[in-house]
Amino acid sequence: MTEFLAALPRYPFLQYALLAGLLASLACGVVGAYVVSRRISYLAGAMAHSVLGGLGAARYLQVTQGWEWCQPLYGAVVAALISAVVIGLVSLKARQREDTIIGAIWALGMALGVLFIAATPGYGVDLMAYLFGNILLVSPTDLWLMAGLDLLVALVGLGFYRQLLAVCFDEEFARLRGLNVDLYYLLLLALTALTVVLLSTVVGIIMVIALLTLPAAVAGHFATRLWQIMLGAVLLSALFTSLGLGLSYGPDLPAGAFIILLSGAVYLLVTTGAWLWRRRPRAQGL
Amino acid sequence: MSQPLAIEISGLSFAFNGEPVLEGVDLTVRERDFAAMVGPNGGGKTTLLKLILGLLTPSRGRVLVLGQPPARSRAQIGYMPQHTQVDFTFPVTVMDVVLMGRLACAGRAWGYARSDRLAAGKSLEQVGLGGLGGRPFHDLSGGQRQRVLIARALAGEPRLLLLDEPTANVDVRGEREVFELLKELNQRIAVVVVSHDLGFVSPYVRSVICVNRRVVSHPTSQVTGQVIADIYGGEMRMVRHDHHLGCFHD
Repeated sequence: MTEFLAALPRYPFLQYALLAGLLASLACGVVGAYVVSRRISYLAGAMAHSVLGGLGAARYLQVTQGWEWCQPLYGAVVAALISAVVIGLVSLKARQREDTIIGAIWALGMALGVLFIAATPGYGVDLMAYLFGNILLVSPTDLWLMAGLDLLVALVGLGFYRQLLAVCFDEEFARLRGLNVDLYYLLLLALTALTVVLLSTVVGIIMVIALLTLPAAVAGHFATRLWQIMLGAVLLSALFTSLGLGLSYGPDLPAGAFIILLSGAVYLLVTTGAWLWRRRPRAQGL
Repeated sequence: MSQPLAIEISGLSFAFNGEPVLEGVDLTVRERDFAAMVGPNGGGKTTLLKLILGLLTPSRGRVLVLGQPPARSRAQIGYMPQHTQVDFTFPVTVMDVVLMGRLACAGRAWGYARSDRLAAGKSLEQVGLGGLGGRPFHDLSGGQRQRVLIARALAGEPRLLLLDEPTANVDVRGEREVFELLKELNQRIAVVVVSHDLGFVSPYVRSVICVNRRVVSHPTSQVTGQVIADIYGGEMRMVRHDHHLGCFHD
C-alpha cells in the first residue's frame, strides 16, 4: 500500500486507474441498489458476458478496417444495450422463456467475442484483459467516455428515483397508478447495461456481477431505504476499488481480482456478523 | 336506479388460450356498496378483478368503472393486491410505500410534492398507523402491513376500493379490525373485497358476488345454501358459523 501511495504522484497510469475506479463506483452504487432490490443480478450477468462480443467486434473493425474511432468501449456499450433490450422484451412478453434467453445471450456474447478476438491480427493479450479487467490500461480517452456514461447513469438513475422505486417494489401497482412500467423497466435494464460496461473496464467481464451487487448487499444490512443503500454502495465500492488497486500494486498482482476478493470478504463478514447478531443470546429479565 | 354505478359489466366473456374463464357476466356494483367476491380457486375471481382494473381486456362485452372504461378511471380506483404480490424485505419505509399511492397524482417529474406527503400521512392515520411512517416496512406485523397496503390504496383518494384478500395472513382480531376500517371507509366509497375462503365472508358485507365462470350477485340476505350449491356446482357441505365472522348459513 505504501508503495502504491509513493508511486501514485509519479505515474499517470495509476492516477487514471484510481480515477476510473472512483468514477465507476458512482454508477455502481446507484444501479447496484436497484439491481439487488429488484433481484435481477443474473440479468446483469448475461449483459456482462455479452459485452465481450461487442468489445471483440469493435476491436476487430478497428484493426482490420483501420477505423481508429471504433473504440472497443463503444462496441461494449452497443452490445450491452442490445442484450438489455432483448432481455427486457422477453421478460415483458414471455417471462417463462427468460432463463433460456439469458443463458443464450450469456454464451453467444462470449462465443462472438472469442471468435472476433481470434480473427483480429496482432497479439492475443486482449482476451485476458477483457475477461479479468486491467484497470492499469485505462487511457484518458477511456476516462472521458467513462465520465460521460457515469454522469448519464447517475442522473437518470437518481432523477427517476420515484418511478424506478415504484416499479421495483410492486410493478402491477405502479402500472395501475398510471406509470409506463414497461418503459421504466427497460430504462432500468439500459442503466444496468451501461453500468456493466463501466465496471467491466475496472474488474473485467467475469467479475462484474460481484462488484455490482456486493457493495449494495453490504449496504443493505445497514440501510432501511433504497437511497441509503445507494449512498452506502457508492462509498463502499469506491473504497473496495481504491483499496484493491493499492493493495495489488506492491506484489504486482491483478487489481480486479483483489477488488473482488476484498468485496467478497467484507460481504461474508458483514452477512455472518448480521446473522450472529440476530441469534445473539438476549439478556434474560431478572 | 338513481345512484351512479361504481362497476357496470355487461355481456362480458373472457377466454385465456381458448379456454373460457368467464362467460356471460353481467354485474353492477353501486357506489357505497360493500361487496365480497367469492368462489372456488380457478373460478375466475382474479381474472374478473383484473378485467375491472383494466389489466386484461374482455374477449366480449364491456366494463365500465365509475362510468368510464377502466383505463380512464384508474386514477380513481384504489387497489390492494394479494400480500404475496409484495416483497416485504424490500428496503422501504412505511411512508415510501404509502407515497406510491400518489404516483398518479404527483404532477412533477422528480420526487413527491408536499401535498402528496400530507395525503399519504392522512391515509396512514385513517388506517390507524399515524406516526409509523418512518418505520421500515419489514419491521411491521402482518396485520400492520395489510393496513399499510390499504393506506397506499387510499392515498390516491379513490372512489372505489378493490382489495384482494385483505385479511390473508392476519389473525381473527386483525381481520375484524380490517373490516371495521373498511366499513368506515364504505361511508364514502364503494368497497369490493375478494375472499379466497370458500363461503366465509364478513357480516359487514352487503352483497356477495359469486364467481365460478358465471357470475351471480346477491344481497347478503338472499344467500342461501341452494345459491352456494349452484355456484360451486353440486354438493357442498354447509358449515354454520355462529361467531361474528359467520356468513353463508341457511
